[in-house]
Amino acid sequence: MITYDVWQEDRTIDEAPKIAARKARELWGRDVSKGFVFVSGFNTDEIYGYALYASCDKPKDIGKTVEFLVAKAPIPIKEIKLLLYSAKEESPLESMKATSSLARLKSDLDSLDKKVRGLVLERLDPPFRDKVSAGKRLDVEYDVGLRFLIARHDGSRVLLDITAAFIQGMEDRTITLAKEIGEVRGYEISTVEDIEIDDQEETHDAISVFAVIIPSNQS
Amino acid sequence: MGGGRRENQVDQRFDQGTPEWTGEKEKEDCEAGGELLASYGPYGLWRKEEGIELRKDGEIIGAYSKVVVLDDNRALLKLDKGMLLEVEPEGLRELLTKEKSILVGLVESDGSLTRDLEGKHYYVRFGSESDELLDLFRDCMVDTYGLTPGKYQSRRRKHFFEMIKGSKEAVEDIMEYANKHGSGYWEVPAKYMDKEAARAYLKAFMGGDGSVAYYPGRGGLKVRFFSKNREGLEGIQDLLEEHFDIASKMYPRDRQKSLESGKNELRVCREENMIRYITEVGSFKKSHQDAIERFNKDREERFGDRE
Repeated sequence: MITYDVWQEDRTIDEAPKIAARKARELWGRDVSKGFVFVSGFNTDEIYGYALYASCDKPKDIGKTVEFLVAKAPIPIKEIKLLLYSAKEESPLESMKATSSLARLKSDLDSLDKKVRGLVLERLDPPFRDKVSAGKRLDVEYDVGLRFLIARHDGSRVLLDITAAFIQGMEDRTITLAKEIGEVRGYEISTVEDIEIDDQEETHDAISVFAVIIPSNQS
Repeated sequence: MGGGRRENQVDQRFDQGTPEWTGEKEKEDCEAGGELLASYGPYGLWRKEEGIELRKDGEIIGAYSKVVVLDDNRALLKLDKGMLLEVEPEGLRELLTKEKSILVGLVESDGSLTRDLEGKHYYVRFGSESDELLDLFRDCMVDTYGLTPGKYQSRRRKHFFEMIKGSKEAVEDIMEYANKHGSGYWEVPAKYMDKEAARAYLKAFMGGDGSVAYYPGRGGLKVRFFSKNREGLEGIQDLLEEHFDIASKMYPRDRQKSLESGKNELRVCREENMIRYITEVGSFKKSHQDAIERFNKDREERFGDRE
């Protein structure tokens, strides 16, 4: 894979499509048969980081793909890259096995939340656990990963990868973001093998915990 | 800021004409000419017709146009390009003004410094969807360098604007303090900051790449800073600790094995620290200020209920 840094806040973002298109024409050849435009940043108001990863089969499409992602990505955009692969290399988009219907996203997130909260309760310091047992609210903060597989009107595909603080209503906000890019074909969410408690304290009305998810596939 | 420090105190003193004289100082006045405003260990500040003179052990070591702050422990003298000279009994050091601290915080979060290899083009940029941050950037550029940046709307993002000013002087000067390269690296110019400058810097950086959010009933208040630059965030962590006694924790987002990995998150941890943050520091961003207002309102109601 060849990675080229197209833009990093070091010039006006409107120049990014031209830079990417020029570089794609230059690098596309014998060892490059597919290209991806990578855009990442974070939304500080709703506390999520994101990466957009859009496929391009021809170098002439790179510029327009950058334009499209710049228009759709949440602000602030932090970097734009060009990723070029040979035919035999597998991209993250190809390795994604997202097939679930969006209708299941809320229940999947609820299941994940239930599992995380159960694990937190097991690992909580005993005095805090006793207070939760006695009725004090358990307030668990953690980040969850979501990936949406999206089809654009021209048939190209986009992977939207979000790492978001688990908050109520997050499924609606992330689905809205994904639908602005195209037709959502499926999604994946974090799998939970275990959790680590990073911080715990008693506040006026809750036992407040910050936890980190350990994904199932992590060795 | 505590300790009786106040803006324009010098002017007031001139009006009152009441510096605290000792017999020895009065004698020095006669010998050196001018009026002794204050002394800090070996240093003395003298008002002369043409401005302020700084002397060490009686020897003139500098002349300045204005005293910005004068209190019992220190004085701040105005330098050019948004800098101050702090005079204390222990010594002298240069400090950033509040406006320049804001400028550095905005550039390090959502801004850039462009310097091409040929040295022909130098630009200071700041991009945002928030009018209040764009206005703040413009005001601080005017205050610090006397330069008014242009405002440009992105062709592809209707609500996104960039403030841009071509200036070799401004780029090189900010670069000296921020050491910024692309979005990947920058430094907190902590050694040039007192508490006031640190507060201004944090409020500005928070406005660009931070988050103050409030989710009542689930998660509560959250205060976070984001960056790819872990060292930069560690600088912010030190600033929070040193000037405001606020504890925070680094959280690498790549633990999620996400494509957007490589970013770091600095979380202000524990409710007491978050409350201290919103009380003593805050943010220049309107949506953050709204979140703080909602939190404070709920908190007042809560304590009101208890009473």
